[in-house]
Amino acid sequence: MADIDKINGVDVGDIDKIDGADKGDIDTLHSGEIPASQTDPSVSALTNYQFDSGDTKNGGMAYSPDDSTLGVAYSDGDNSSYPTVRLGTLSSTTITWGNETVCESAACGPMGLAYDTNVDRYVVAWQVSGSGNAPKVAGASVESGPVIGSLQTDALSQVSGKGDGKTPEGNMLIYDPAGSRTLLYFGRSGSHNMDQDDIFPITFDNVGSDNSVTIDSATTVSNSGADYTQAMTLAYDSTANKVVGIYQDRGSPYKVKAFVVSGSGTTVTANTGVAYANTSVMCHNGDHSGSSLSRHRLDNSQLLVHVNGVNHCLIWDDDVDEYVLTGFTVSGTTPTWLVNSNIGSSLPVRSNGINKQFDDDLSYNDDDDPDGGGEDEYATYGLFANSGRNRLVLAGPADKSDGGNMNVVGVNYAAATGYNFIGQYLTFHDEQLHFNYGDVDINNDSWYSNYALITGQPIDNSGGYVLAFDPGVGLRAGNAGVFSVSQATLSTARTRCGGLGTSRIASLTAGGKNTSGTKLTSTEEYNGSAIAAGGNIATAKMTPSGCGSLTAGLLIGGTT
Amino acid sequence: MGEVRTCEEYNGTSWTNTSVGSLNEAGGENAFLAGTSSAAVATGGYVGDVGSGYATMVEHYNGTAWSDTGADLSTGIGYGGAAGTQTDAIFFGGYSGSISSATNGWNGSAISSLNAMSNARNVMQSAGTRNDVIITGGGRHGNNDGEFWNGTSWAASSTNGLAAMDLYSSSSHADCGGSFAAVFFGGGTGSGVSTAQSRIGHHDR
Repeated sequence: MADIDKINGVDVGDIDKIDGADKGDIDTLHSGEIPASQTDPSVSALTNYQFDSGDTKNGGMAYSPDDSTLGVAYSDGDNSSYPTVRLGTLSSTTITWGNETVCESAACGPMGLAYDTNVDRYVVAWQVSGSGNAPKVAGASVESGPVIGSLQTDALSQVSGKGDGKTPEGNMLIYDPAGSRTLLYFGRSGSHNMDQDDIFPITFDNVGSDNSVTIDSATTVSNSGADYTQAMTLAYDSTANKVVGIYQDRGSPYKVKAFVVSGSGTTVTANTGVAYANTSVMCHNGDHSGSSLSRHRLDNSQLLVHVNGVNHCLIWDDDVDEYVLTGFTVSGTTPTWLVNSNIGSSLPVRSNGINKQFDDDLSYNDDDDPDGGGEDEYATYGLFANSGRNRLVLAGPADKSDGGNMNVVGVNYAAATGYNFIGQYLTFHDEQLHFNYGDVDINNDSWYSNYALITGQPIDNSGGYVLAFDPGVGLRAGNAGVFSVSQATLSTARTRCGGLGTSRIASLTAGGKNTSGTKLTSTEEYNGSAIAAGGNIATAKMTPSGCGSLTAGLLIGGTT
Repeated sequence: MGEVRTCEEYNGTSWTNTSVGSLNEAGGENAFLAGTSSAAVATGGYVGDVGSGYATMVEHYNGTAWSDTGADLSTGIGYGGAAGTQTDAIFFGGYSGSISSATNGWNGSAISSLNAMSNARNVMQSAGTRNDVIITGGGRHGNNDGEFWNGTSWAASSTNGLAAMDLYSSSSHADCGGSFAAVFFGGGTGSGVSTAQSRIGHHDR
């Protein structure tokens, strides 16, 4: 294209305003943000990232858009494991923490924290300890602000009955903007024995000026026959304006199901779950029944986040014996799992397997046979969202020891290209962390809108941290890419074959020859994670060249 | 049996060659090919029946027939890679008695010389677009290295994860929309690099 030196008769070099704005100040065009052309993923060194030096396990984190405070809730090991909340303010990369506020002078287990914009208050919940693992859950509201005053617990409520002994094990609260309420959720022991979780949401209401809290009647997500549930986790789908969830349906074979929460106020409807295509596990706290379906742990980490119109989740897909990222969208109250229609008709859209992609980097894969791993395959993954970058964040351990690094990588999803990892991983922290629930995805114009803020503590229980990771914009430099072997393999081993496709998730290989030198007519289609047979070419050949797309491809030349 | 100039088109279900014309000169073994099934450019390839055995003619395909553009490579060559469109493509690497590091540009009517690769390479694992290409393996398999093309020049690629998939003569170049989600199929290992593999390689960035 020829050089343009004038536009509408004006020298290009003389233009210093566009639509009346200084061009140097323009960061939006037609109300849309102009993204930086390329920004590498980065871990931010936050000042005061440690909010407590003792045991802070199973906490939660939330953010208040009303006053830009960041809240953490944790069982404070330095203070008799009392349920504790601490708020901080963010300025540049510095967190300024307020005082610790003890919610109740009694030891607690896991805690949850949410910010309810309907009532302009943080809501905190904790599992009261002292009766085995039976979780009684209480709620209370907290005045917001960088320094909390007295916690309002005068109308503290508790859930009756027993938990299942395994949940809650992390954040058990989520704010539901569509329903103008906060939801409490965890597995409660119901008609089944231990390990058989009834799961239900509970509404908080009447959080008025007196700060009273009421936990309203429960709704069970699913508890019929073999279709009982386990390990439910919830997220807010801002596209559908619905709280959505996934749980493990333990009917045989195990299936991860997605569902939508609807209703408002004190009315909660847990709509029918829709199963992921393959046998799949999001097992929580193990469940070693001897089946390969249940030998993997995605320990108390966040496994469901919403980014760019899709609810993404990290599950174990037994079809490929791998941890994978996949997702679903929501229309009304119906979830629809992502399906790759490029090959076949119902194959799920999923990422490369995490072990295949980052063996020993984000998953200590010390057992060559994951199916036989049992608890050796304990994986402390965390999946987080960053809507500022429209990307996911996946973190995992390089080693099971406390001294092993916790590494992190950005992940992109687009309908046309599927999942791809943003190059090589970065070291997130120099010791393995248990992530607490409640990543904070702050979508405003501050620096941290580009960061996923993540809370957790080292596995030796030596503190509570808030860490920040920016998954970046654009592509990594060429020397920061990452090669990997797919979780899928060709049906026919071949060399000197043709290739084509305008996207990895719609690509094909054709012809070539096998090890014995026999030239091939077969072709194989690939959707990024699975192979299916394509149509045979007319003549067996090797060394052809290909171009074009999976549905409009061209193959030329070769040797017959 | 031997090198052919025939073509086949795929519609997602089946292949057809009944309406697809053959190339005039290019083709045979590992010709350079870029574009789409309705607007492609091809050149080179080991065809055997021309002077050096390697084609030089640059040809265009319009979805029905191939035509000579009137342009030619200065030297016949095959076993390289190509990326881009019919009117904006690059041809890189290859073999014509020796392994090449050259990069040629194609603007739809003429060949130009562009910055060469750091290392000569042929039958490489290759994927990407005119300004975003990743290559590895091929004639340099076992060196555990690769190169990345940014539209102007080549530079060393990452080697992270490369050792497990540094193969000889895997699938020909696939566009993949760029190098951020690239794929390579199969390839050879072992003595004579003829032990066929079922591996599928990825490159992400």
